[in-house]
Amino acid sequence: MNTLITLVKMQLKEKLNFKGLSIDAKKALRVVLSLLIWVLKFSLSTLACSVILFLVGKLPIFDELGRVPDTFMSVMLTVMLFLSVCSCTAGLTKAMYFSRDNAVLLTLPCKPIEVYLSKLIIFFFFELKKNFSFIIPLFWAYFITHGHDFIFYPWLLVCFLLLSILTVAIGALLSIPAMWLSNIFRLHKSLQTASIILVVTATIASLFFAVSLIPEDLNLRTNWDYIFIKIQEFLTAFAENLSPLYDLTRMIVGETVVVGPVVTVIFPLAATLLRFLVLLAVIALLTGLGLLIVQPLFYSMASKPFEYLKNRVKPKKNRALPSWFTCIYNEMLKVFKDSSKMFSNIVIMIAIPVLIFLLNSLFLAMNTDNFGDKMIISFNILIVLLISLNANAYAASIYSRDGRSAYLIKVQPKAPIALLIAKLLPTTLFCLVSFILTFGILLASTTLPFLDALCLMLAILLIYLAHLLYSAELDIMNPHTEIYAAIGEYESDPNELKSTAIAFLVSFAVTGITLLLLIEDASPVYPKLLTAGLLAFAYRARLFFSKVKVYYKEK
Amino acid sequence: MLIYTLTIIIATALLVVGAYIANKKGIDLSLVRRIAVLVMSAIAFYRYMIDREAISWVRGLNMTLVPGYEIPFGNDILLTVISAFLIWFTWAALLSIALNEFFKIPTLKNMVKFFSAPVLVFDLLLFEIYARGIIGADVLTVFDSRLPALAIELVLALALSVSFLINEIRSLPSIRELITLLVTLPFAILTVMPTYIPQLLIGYLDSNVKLGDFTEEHRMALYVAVIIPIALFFVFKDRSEDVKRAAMLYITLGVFWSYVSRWYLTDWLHPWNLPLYLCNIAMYIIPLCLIFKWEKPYYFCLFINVTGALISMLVPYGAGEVNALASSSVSFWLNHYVVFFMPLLLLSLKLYKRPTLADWGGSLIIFTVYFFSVLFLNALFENFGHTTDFFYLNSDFIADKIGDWALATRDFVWTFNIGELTLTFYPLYQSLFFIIYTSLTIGTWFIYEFLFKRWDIAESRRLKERDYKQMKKDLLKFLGGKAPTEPVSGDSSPKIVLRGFSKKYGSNKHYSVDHVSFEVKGGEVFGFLGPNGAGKSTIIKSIVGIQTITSGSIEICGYDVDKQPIMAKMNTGFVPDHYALYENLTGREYINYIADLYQVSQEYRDETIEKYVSRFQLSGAFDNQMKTYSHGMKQKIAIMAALVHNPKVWILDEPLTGLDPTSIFEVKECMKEHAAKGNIVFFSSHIIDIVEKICDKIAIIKGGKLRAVATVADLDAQGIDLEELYISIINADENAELININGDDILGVDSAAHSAVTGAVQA
Repeated sequence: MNTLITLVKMQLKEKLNFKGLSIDAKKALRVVLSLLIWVLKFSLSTLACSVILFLVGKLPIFDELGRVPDTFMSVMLTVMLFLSVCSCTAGLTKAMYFSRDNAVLLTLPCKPIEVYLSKLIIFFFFELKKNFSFIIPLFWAYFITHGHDFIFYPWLLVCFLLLSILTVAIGALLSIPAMWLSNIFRLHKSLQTASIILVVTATIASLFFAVSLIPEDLNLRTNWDYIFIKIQEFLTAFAENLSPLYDLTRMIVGETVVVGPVVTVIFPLAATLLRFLVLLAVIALLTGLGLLIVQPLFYSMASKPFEYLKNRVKPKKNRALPSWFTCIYNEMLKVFKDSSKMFSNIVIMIAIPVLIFLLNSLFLAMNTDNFGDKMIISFNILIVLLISLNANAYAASIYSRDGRSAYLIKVQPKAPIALLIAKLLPTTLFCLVSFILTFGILLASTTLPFLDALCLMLAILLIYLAHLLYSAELDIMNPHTEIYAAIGEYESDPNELKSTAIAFLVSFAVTGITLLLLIEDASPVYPKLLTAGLLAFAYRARLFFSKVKVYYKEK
Repeated sequence: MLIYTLTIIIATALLVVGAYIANKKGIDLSLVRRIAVLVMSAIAFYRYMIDREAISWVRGLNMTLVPGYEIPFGNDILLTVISAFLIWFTWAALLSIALNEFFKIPTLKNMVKFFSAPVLVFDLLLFEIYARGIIGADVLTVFDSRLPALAIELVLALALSVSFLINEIRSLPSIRELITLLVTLPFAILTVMPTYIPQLLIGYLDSNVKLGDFTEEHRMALYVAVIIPIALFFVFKDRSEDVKRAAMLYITLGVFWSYVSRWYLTDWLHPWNLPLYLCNIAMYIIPLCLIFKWEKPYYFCLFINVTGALISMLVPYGAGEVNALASSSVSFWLNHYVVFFMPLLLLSLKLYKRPTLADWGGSLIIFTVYFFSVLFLNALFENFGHTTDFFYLNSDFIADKIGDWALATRDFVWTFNIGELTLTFYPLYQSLFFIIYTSLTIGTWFIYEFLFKRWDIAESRRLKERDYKQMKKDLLKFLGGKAPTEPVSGDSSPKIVLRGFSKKYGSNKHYSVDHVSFEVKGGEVFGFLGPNGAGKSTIIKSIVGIQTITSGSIEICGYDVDKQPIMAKMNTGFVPDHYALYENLTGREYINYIADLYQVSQEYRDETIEKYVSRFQLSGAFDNQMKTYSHGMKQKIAIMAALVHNPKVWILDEPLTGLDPTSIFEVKECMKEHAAKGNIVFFSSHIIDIVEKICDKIAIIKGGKLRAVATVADLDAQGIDLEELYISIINADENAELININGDDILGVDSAAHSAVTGAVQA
């Protein structure tokens, strides 16, 4: 037990950069401040969810009483659980088998089960932390807007404690086939390429299929009754066909009892206890299965990433390139050779045009007025910015991720700025392709004139570049090279979090301002956006170049 | 009118002659001139505040607006325009003359000489037109006290400017000063523009253009509030304090002048007409702060007025309802611009120090006094039939903007009597007003603190950038016409020179490396010994450019590592203590990438790569990804990367760690061969045996200080065992001096170690 505790503490300290509680007043104050900020963030999330649920309730989507049914919450919980399981599987596969600290852990005098459990426990902490970001505030918001009793609030925390264990346990089991697949892809690159092509093709095909399902005349207002019935049918069917998940939801949110016009929520002790015990049993079963199946395989699977097939490769020729081009070529090569980076770049490249195409196909089917057209443009801007700017989070750790190789930029006989910018180019190019495709789709599917659409896309591109430079600057000014060198991943990289937060802020701000300008209808909106984008980019570029010149060598 | 003109000319001439004679006799007239300025200003203030200028009733030059008011020049547009410009430019002339007596600034001097004097001469020549524009069409028929006041004002102004011109006639301005004047003059004139000029010249254009409700025009007006101070900051930030103060005073007085045109002298007798709104008060306080260098009132403006001005501009009272070009609108915006940005501008130009908590506290006290004073005055003046609304405390303007709940707070009313006076208050509304405004002020403190931090960061960066640019200039100067790619020492042969090199990390007081100096020549294999944390890696990292230099200098082949980093690196190959490579690349891809950066030709790299691949037995793995390599293989790749361009200086940090015996042998051979070609091999190691075998020269470092430098040949000749020397130095006192073993030149250590060394030397 002591060994397990030591393993957990050691890994937690490393991943969280946790310096531990000490009697130092300054540190204690910092901890208190962090806690307060966390409470504030949680409260803001809950407030935002409450407002959304309140507004959703006001719309006659579910019923005339302005309530959101528990079946809807069941759908939300299912989606969140599914996403959690996916991210747990991916995260656990990485953490259990590909983490660099395995090189240390595997050599320690611990039982295999202890190392295995320590990794699961660490992941559980992060999973629980993630749940506090959205799903727990969502359910608390549900309780607030539906007048639930106080007992439900702490009860929710207990439930999500177990649900976090559940998703981790499922993820641990699914990590076996995930690891097996990953190994196959690592050894057979052609298979990997084929899979990616298959996935991309399937996505595009599904997209076209989904678009073909959209009726020609999508009039929500006149067809509302029909849509309302369909929504009710879907929710009912969901509750019937996925009854375990519906029961799980009812365990969390209680039972709704309607007596005439009065709606009450009760906490049925017996039923809840039964469901709770079933959940515990499922968790016990999955954990037991995990211990039984994964744990014996753990060591052999964890050591696989350190094994390489020694292939005999035909010697290639040396190729001299101009020094200005070699940095770009080198970075492109590194990206192409890194399957996870390639995959995420491809996803970004196709996600934006795909979503915009789908969105605008939906809107085209609607009969919108002038205000509606403006909303459509704004929504398009929001989607493009949200995805592209959030993708910039990688730039906030791009230099640190080189780990110990990061020093190479300082040693090489080239101005550091050229090498730093070269690192940003590969993903920027993918994004550029994405923007070009999106531009074409916007032209085809909206009423925007060519010049306006061009101004808009250029403005978005400049905002994207400005945010990219900002994110890269965060990493230059506050590098975490040692953490990435040691572990290969930094769970809550503060630079990435900051970049993501600003991405959301900028996306919503630009969308809001564009919508206001469009509503005002006073003067050319898109040239203004372009000017703002230009100024933002010029400012950030100036700052980036200046900081690299002045600070990079010291960091 | 002729009499007035002649009187002015004679009086001016007398004064000018008197001033000239006094000057010739060496009498200091500066005090007299300053008094004359004050008298001139007082008279100008008097005649300005008697009544509004007649020409201000003109609208859009069409002469037909505002029934009931006589237009001074009838339908004559030309005379109207001439008069308007004379009046306008005269204000600029008077202000520059006044400030010129208190500030000795070339731009002001030139303004007086080349602008003010000519303008006043025009006023004299066109006196009737000038006077009529101010007094009106009946200037010649009905006595108006403004006419003699104008005359006296003109006499004083002319006397001051002409006598100044005569005194300064020999000192001609430089081209730069003239250009500065030409650039400054339009802005200086624009600053004192009477608020009625736009409506006079242009009229109201589209009467729907109003600056309120966040229309596009309103937003443009708000952008101006930010753009102007930023522009002024960049213009004045590097000027002297006198120039900054004079410029800011000019702006505030100029705007103040156009602002006070809304009031008449008689208003001062009726206190309910006094400008006691918060932003009105600031218009008086700010110029007085600049003149008398007051601090507490300034900080009051900084904390209280800036917030108020910002809110007023966001929610303009009254000005948002009238045409944008109307005099009241122009006056509103000028007033609030200055009140908003001037305190901030004065702070950023360092005319005032950053506020402390005490300053903020003082502002709150002044604000509280102001608040309760106007609260009382509002209630008091109601008794005399005057509905005053100082600070919007009495009306529902603010509450209406907020919403119903705010309006509801006004339902609570207190009324009580003191003698015959009935005082009415809205306690809930007014208390909330006070609390909210005070809270905003508290928020302002934190906003300022945040901005100060950002400012300091930006300033630090700016200073570093400036130092960087200066360093580049110094380098070019030092090179004396040679290209920056030329070595500073003029000699690019293989050499490493450290001169007083010191390194400190961050804000540490302790030096990691302290004044280390040594030289390594071509053909030498230099070994660097020392315990862990001695500073070996710090020195190496500073040589190769991974870290900065705190003080001293490092040269590689004549190139300064700090000033000419790229050229220094071109001559260096580095093998770190822990290989760090781009492991997704193959060995070949990585080496070719490095070769490209060092601009190695195709032929040379083919030959070199082939040589080292076979030497290090990497043929089978060279085209595999480096992540499949063993530790030894990766270290060999790092060595290859350092040698592919045949560097004059090859630096290795613990290169033999983790290598098998064959690889160690190969690396040692490479080192010897490389040095044999006349190059330098500089490496650090813990393994004394190897250092002893392959090095020509060694250095021992401990605690960041160089403790010993010796050639291996000398050590051998003197029978000194390197290992014993090393141990003795490591165990020696911290303050032991450098041992330079060069024949019989030993500088000394503590007794035990000294005996060991001396004994060895003697033996």
